Amino acid sequence: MKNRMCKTNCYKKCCAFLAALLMLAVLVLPGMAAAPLVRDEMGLFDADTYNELEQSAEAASSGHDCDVYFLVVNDIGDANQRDFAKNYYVNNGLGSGEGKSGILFLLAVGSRKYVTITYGGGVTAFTDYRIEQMEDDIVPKLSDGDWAGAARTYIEMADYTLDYYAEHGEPIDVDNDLGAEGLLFVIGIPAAIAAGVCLVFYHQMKTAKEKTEADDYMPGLKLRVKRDVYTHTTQTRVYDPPKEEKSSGGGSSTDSDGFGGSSGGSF
Amino acid sequence: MPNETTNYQCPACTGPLRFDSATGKLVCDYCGSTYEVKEVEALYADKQKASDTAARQRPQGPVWGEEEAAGLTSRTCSSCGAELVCDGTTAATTCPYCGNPTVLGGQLSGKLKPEYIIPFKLDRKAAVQNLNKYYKGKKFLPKAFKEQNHVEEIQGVYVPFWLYDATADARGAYEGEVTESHREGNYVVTNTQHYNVARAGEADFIKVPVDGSSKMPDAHMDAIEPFDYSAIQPFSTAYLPGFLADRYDEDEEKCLPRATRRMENTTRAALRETIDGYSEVHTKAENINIDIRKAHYALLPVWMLHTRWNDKDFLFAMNGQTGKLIGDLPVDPKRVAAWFAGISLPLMVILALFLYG
Repeated sequence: MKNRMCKTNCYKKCCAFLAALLMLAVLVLPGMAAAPLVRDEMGLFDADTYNELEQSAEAASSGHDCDVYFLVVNDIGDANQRDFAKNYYVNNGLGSGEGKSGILFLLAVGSRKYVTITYGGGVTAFTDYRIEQMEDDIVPKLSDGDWAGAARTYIEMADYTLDYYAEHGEPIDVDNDLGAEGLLFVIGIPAAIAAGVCLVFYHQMKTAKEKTEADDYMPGLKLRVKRDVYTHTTQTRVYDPPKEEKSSGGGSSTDSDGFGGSSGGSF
Repeated sequence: MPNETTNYQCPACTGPLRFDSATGKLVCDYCGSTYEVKEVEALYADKQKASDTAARQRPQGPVWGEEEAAGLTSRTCSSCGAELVCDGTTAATTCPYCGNPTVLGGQLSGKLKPEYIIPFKLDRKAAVQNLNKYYKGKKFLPKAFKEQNHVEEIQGVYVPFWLYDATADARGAYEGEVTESHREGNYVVTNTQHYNVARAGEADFIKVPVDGSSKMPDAHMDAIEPFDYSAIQPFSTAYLPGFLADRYDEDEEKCLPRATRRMENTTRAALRETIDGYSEVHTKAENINIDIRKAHYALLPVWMLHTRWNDKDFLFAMNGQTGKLIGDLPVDPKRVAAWFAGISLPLMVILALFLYG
């Protein structure tokens, strides 16, 4: 009888513990679900694309104490895109850890504007130079209406930037980023010049060549028809925003409120 | 085909005459007499006939088998009596036994007789000097090549050429574009004006040369062009003594495609050069017709120099009139690597310091 009562008490305790766990999950999980990294406020992406982007953003942020946000809104009216993004960041309590570290790319589809802002540790990890590189790759996709492609590019570049910072202890900046262009410049151009000179020298060694023309034996061409008739005009427009002058010093510039990033633009 | 070799002999001392490229006269090295070409030709006409007759009457010696004889010609030096065996396309040669310059009149007569000849203007010494000069400034030439190789064989050769006179008729239709770009905000706007362009014309080609000897490398013969046709002369065997002369073994029909291709390319380029003022020109249609008016058979002067190094043969050709010398030289891979590294590495260091230093 005593044993039976003891078993009943144990069962009740277990049920109460499970119920407490369940309540905790019910209270905590909605909070976690309410802080997505890809914040599609206008329903731009379908479910599959959204899930894919969200997982990529979580993977990029993971372990770096710096959240990677991609914010999509329709119209920001007359508001400055940078002010809009900063207000959104603050009002929604975004950022990782006590320092609220993060990077946010704002895409205002209806207003055709964009901006990148950084805060906390994000200011250090993402230099002005790197943000300009990222926007150079992202904005052409926005111009083409490739919203998902733009988001993927942003998340991939942010991921690489945070990994680089974690591995090297310094951010990607103007003075340490060799990159493909830098390598091409430093190695490719000298190699091309040397190859060109060697080719000239090599041709001096091989002078026996069959002729393909007979210029020496033709005094001149007597033209009897010369007609040039205008037919039509075509026009092409290519998106190519003027480049802002880079600051040669590198690093990250910040506002008085601690936010870094770009001043944004239109696409 | 006659197989008698005939000498031009000095009317004064009967010594061998040779053609002096510097003076354009026939010279006797024994008594120092000099003769105009036409003068000796006139004196020699009867002797040539007698020599041909003697050759026909000569008893047969040992004979070549049919297969062996197929590509060979037997000739006799009238000076020392040596029998010269050459391949069938060689028309004049120097007797290897007595050194006499000899001429086989019959080989270049009749159907095979050239219409023109450009006499040699530069001698053997100039050819060797030009070859040594040619080596200078060649960065990839192995050092040992200059030191170890020497000219093994040098021959002045009258190379058979076909010289084509032709008229080219050319018509072309093109699309011309004039492009202008300007900036409108974040966009670069490009306006392109399109034009229909038509051109037609004709061009005369005068004596486009193509060598008619399969033994001569085409690349070598092309590369020593051009010849100065102002010095061209009606053919005479009097220019041949002292030089080897080939007869053609590729006729004017066989050589014609090479000449036609060259004339087409030149005409096409000339037609396109008349189209200007456009940023881009696209060809819609082109039609070029080459009408060959005449093909002249001519002998042109070439010094052939042969060297051997590291068991490889190197052949050089020099225009016997202008002195232009060409030929492929050996390349030292170590020198290529050294030059490549010597240029590229310092540049890489300088650029790296400039960008990231």
